[in-house]
Amino acid sequence: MIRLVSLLLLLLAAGCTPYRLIPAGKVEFTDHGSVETPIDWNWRPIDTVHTWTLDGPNLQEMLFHLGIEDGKTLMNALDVESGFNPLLVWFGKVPDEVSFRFHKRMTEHEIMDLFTASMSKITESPVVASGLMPADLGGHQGFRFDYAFVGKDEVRRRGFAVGAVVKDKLYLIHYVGTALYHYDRNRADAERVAASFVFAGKD
Amino acid sequence: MISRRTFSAGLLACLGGCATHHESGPSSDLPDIGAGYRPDPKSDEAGLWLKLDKVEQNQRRSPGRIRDKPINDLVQDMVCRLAGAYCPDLRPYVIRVPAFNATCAPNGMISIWSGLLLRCHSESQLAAVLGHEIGHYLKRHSLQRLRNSRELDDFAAFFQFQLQGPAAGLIRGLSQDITQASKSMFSRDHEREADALGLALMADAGYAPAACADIWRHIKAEDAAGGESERFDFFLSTHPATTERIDNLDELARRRPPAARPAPDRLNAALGPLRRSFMADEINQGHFKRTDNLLTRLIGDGIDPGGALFYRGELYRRRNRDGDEAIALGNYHDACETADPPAEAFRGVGTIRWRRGETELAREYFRRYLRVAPNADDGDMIRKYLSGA
Repeated sequence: MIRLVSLLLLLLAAGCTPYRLIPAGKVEFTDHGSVETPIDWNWRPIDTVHTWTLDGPNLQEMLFHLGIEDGKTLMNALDVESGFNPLLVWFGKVPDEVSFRFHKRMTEHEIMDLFTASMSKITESPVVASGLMPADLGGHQGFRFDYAFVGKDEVRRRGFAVGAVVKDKLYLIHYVGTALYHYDRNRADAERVAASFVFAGKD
Repeated sequence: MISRRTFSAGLLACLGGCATHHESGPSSDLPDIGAGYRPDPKSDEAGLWLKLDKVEQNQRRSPGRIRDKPINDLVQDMVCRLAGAYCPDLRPYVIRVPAFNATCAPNGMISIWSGLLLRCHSESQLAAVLGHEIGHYLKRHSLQRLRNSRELDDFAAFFQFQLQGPAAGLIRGLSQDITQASKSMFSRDHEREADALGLALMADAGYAPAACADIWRHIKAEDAAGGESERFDFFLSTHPATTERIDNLDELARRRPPAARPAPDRLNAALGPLRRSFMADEINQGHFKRTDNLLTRLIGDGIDPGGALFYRGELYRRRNRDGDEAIALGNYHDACETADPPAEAFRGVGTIRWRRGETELAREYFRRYLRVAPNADDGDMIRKYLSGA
């Protein structure tokens, strides 16, 4: 009986785990494009973002923000205005909260700033970006930069981001990991994934 | 409603609780802490200190701690000026948290948040807050609150478990309300005492006592700008209403004679470039109206106007409502004209001109950006704009 209950609990726990294996090879993102990965990853969608990890999201993570439209936030969860009580808004009692949104006329500096402001909200810690430079994403002129922050868990993390605005939509891929070990360990794998991005319809 | 046996059991429980409290000490009328004081290892106070010593170990090593020497030297010196003989017992830490707060733990650990430093216009204003926190330490308010809370919880527990009958639920609810209100009132009395003691400490050290009320006026103005009217809850508010604090502090300041030897004002020199990083953290909060109020006040008072104008421009550019781009551009231009403009202000003008299609004007400002910051880490991107790509 104890074995049966244990098995049921294990199955329940496995069912709750939202991750799925992404085998090495070509990975398609519906309507947006595809990448080639040299290694296996674990995939989990969060909000509108595809997230990949190897050892767990707190250790290293690769994130894909694909096709962010004009006026949208990097994640739906960052759109604070959408959560305002309509009655309060009607009476002009709007909370003092503003979302950081992508706009199609943004320059590369503004997109990097949008990213750091959004990430600061997500991590609840100051995120600092540096080294903004021109780069390609999927054959389109874009940009890349590095970033770093110390999370609420007091762990120092580093990351890099590559992005481009194509047909008025923002495509941004970034990789983050603990500065002490995980960032360096799989950075090359992450770079290869980002470099392999192909926009949908370009195959 | 309550049987004799149940009442007896409850009474015994209360008396048992009281006996424990006598061992640990009273919750009020404690003697002030002495210089070099260490609690009796067997006491509840020692347990409290032990817990906080562990918190302090983490804080000391925390990557979120600001280790910049000038600001740490300043706050250490200020603590010594304010606390006198207690100086060796108090250890200040500057922490990067973009919110208005400071705390002093009963073991002498003082935490000063970056959001507080950003809001202080003078050393006297910072001394007002530090004096208040040292006041809590000297009066051992944390220990008093711990003991008071335990006594009140015992009182509530008696009603929670011993009462029976139709009115028991009502009485339990009432006992919880009374407990909560008592805790809050106790805490508010401590805040009033710390306000008065803090003002006395900072005025004795030569700081301007009027600064105590000034800093609360800033906070009140920010709250009002953010649409937060002063909310005072008799049951839940652990601090007196801000208006009451301002009135009391103004009255106390009026009674103080002018300082014989006024203290220096070294805050702006010590904060230096840190203030701009605090402004960057502040605009990341996404509280547009509060931050606008703060930055506008800094600009008006001449506190790093170059930095404040630039970040006000950033605030409006990010919000991006109708007319915000023009306001942002105006603030960037004004920042460029100050005596100490941030290099990013030139880039800000260039960025907005660029997206407006005013390419040549944009390039002029990008060139100025590179002249001010020749080693900028985004130089490659700027040179791409300049090369016509």
